[in-house]
Amino acid sequence: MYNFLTGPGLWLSIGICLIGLLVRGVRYVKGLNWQLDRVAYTAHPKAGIKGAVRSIVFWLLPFGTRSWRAQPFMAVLFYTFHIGVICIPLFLEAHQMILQEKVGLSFAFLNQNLADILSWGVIISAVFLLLRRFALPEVRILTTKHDYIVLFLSVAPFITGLICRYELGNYSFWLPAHIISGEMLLIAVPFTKLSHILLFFMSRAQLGMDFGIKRGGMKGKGLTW
Amino acid sequence: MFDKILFATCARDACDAAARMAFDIAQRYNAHIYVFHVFGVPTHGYSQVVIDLITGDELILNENYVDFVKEEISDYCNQVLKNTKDYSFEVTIGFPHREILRFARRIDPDLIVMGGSTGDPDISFYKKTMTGSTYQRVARAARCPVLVVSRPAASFGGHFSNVVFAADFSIADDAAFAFAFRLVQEQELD
Amino acid sequence: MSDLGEAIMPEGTLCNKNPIQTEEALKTLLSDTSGKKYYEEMKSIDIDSRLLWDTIHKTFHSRMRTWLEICAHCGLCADSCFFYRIHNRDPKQVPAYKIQSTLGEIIRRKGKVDNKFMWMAMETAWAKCTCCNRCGLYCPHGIDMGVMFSYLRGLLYQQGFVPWELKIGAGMHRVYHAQMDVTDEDFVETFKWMAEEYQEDYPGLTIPIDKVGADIMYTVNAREVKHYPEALAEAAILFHLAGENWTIPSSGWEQTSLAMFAGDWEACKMQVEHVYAAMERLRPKRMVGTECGHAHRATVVEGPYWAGRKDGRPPVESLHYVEWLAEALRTGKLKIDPSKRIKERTTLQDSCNYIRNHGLKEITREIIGYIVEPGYFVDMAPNRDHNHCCGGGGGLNGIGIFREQRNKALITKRDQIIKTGATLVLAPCHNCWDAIRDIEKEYRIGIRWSLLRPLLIDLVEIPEHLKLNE
Repeated sequence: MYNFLTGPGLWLSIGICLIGLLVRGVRYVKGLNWQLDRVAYTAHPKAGIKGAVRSIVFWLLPFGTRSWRAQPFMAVLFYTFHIGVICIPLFLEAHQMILQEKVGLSFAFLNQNLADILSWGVIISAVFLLLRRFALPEVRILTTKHDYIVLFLSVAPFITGLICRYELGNYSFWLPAHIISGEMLLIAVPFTKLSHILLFFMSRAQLGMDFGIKRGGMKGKGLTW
Repeated sequence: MFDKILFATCARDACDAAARMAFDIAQRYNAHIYVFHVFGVPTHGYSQVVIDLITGDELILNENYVDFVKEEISDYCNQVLKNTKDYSFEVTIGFPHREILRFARRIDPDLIVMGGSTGDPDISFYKKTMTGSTYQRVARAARCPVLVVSRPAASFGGHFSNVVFAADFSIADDAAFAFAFRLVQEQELD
Repeated sequence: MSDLGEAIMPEGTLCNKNPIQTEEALKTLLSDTSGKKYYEEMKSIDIDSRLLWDTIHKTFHSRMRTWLEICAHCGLCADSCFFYRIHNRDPKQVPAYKIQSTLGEIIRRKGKVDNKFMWMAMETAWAKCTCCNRCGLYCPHGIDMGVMFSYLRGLLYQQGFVPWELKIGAGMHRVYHAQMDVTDEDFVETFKWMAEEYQEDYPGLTIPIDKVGADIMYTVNAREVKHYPEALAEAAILFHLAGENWTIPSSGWEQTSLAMFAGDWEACKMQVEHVYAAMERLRPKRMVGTECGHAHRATVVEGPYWAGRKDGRPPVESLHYVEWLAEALRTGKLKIDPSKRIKERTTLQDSCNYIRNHGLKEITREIIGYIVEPGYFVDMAPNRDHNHCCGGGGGLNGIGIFREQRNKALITKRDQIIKTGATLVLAPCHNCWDAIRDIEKEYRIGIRWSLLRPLLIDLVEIPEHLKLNE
């Protein structure tokens, strides 16, 4: 079981994730149409790139946009969640060990205390993100089953991961559970909103190009995000 | 002296005296009198809504309403029409001073006759963005003499007897004097 | 059902999928006061689901598809929308909800929607969104719901579900190439009339018509010709005083586009191509438009795409009026007597169509620097790219059945103005000007409001060689 999960299972899930994302990315770009979208993408490359970069960078920086600053609590939840969700899978020592074992290379890994903090950060912020969906009417009206499923899928590896880390219960149950939940998450990425892992950047770049080329980007400083 | 007279009416009491005088002059000089009435100012952006200048109500402009207004003007004029046969009606929407001048440019009258100020606060809201009254703005830009009648002239029978020429020695004075002189000469007045 | 068992799609005589293409059709629709019969018919017209889905298939691609799919349902867009705020934070006014419950639903149901749904979609698209694009600035994914609502309007228009005044408006553009029944002759004559009227005060004032190769070709809003001819005079006077080599085209002079508000893309294309033809005929160095927001957006920003221009630019470099004005003041072509500067507390409306959506935020403020005495200008909060819609954008100012919603929508702007303590509001856009006038009319907050041009006329110094010789 363990061998399957860390062998073919791992390759399969990562493969689906990456290839799926690639396919979505390619389809996104192919589906752009300068005339229907009303953005002359290729006619003004410099302005387009500048707009795209500004659009992405300001939104990646914590509190980098007026929108983040207008919703500070949500911004804190968002960054806590995402920093953990990105850094742990990539830089946890245990994961790096597997990477070394499978592919023969590894890079830096997180100090255990930091990893603990980030993981707890993910879980706590996820709880608040969940509460938000019930408590705020403007979020409640938008929320669907899909949102709950995706949140659960994203947090399950962290819950099971921490259970393993603290060696609670039956390790030989929780470790495979953790691996399965991680692989399910990877497989779900291209088929759900989790595809925003790539599409966030593409969508932001597209809007950035729109504002950079058509909607004023060439008239001065550019849009104040 | 006068072949065409443009009588710009607000179709209310304030214009009664002016109406009487306008028709009297027209009769006296065998002139054609154009009875011109602006009945609404546009509002609601590009839509067909106008604010009726008399009632202050919002209404939708359409052919039926225009006909209705024309009939009202006709009825109103019946009181002062008497024997006048050479007249026509024109009703429109817009800002009064603007439309009077636009119409004047089209028909090139020899005289414009107007009533005094109506001074309605609610309607004048729509004039709030422009300075000056309708009369001022028409008088300033008209290419012919403008006669304002604010109250009835007791002894007016359609002809002038005395002319007072008030000069301020501006450029406009030249045209004003020329008209006054012509009037005096043709009518053999004092 | 017909004999063949096909569902017959009833169309009204006034309300149907056919655009207004003739003067006769226009008059007929106009005679239906307030669209009474039109809306009555609208209650029973059928949806051509096949046409709807077919159109979507052809025009709804990855940008918008991804927007609808990727929406994280986070609700950050809620507070960005002034409709949401003024309706007591009603969740049904959350931009993401508004678009998901209309366009999103149409996509999910693959175009199989009914009459009642389309009514709801029409009200959402025209009375719950002015396409101000502010929500696009607040969404982490960069989802611009204003753009999607504009797209939705196109689908609704195609099916005949469009407000009466906008069906007429689009028809006006198709018949007259202008938003009102103003002909080319009316345009030229009115301009000439204005020159005649003002020639005494400004000797040498002429209107060059159809001059080839001029520096500036000037385009207007048809309503100026019909109801506000002073605006034409003022523009001519300022060009004259600035010593500009300018001209007006006898055809292709209308910069606005009610067709854009209506979602009639074919008419949009026809309208801008008409103006571009004038540009190509007269080959000016630049085109300058009047003080209007959506006119600029339609003709300069979006227009090139309707016309199929690959670089996204009109045939000739095109400026919004404020850009020309700022340049004239900057280069000294127009000089302001500093002692005449405005000394009353003044604020500025940032019109969405050329501020948020075309980056001219600092240009208008540069002009203010010249015409308002320092210390008297107060910016609204928020301002610039993040300022709110005036309340009447996207055509809402003119739609009768949504008047109530429009009047409520003015509240955001009203409160912004009150907070500045200003008694003069500068609104360099015809629509914003109307909305702010209506704010004063409805709520009597004690303000004056003005376009920039009339103020400039009073402030600008007349060059020696153009002065009246006494």
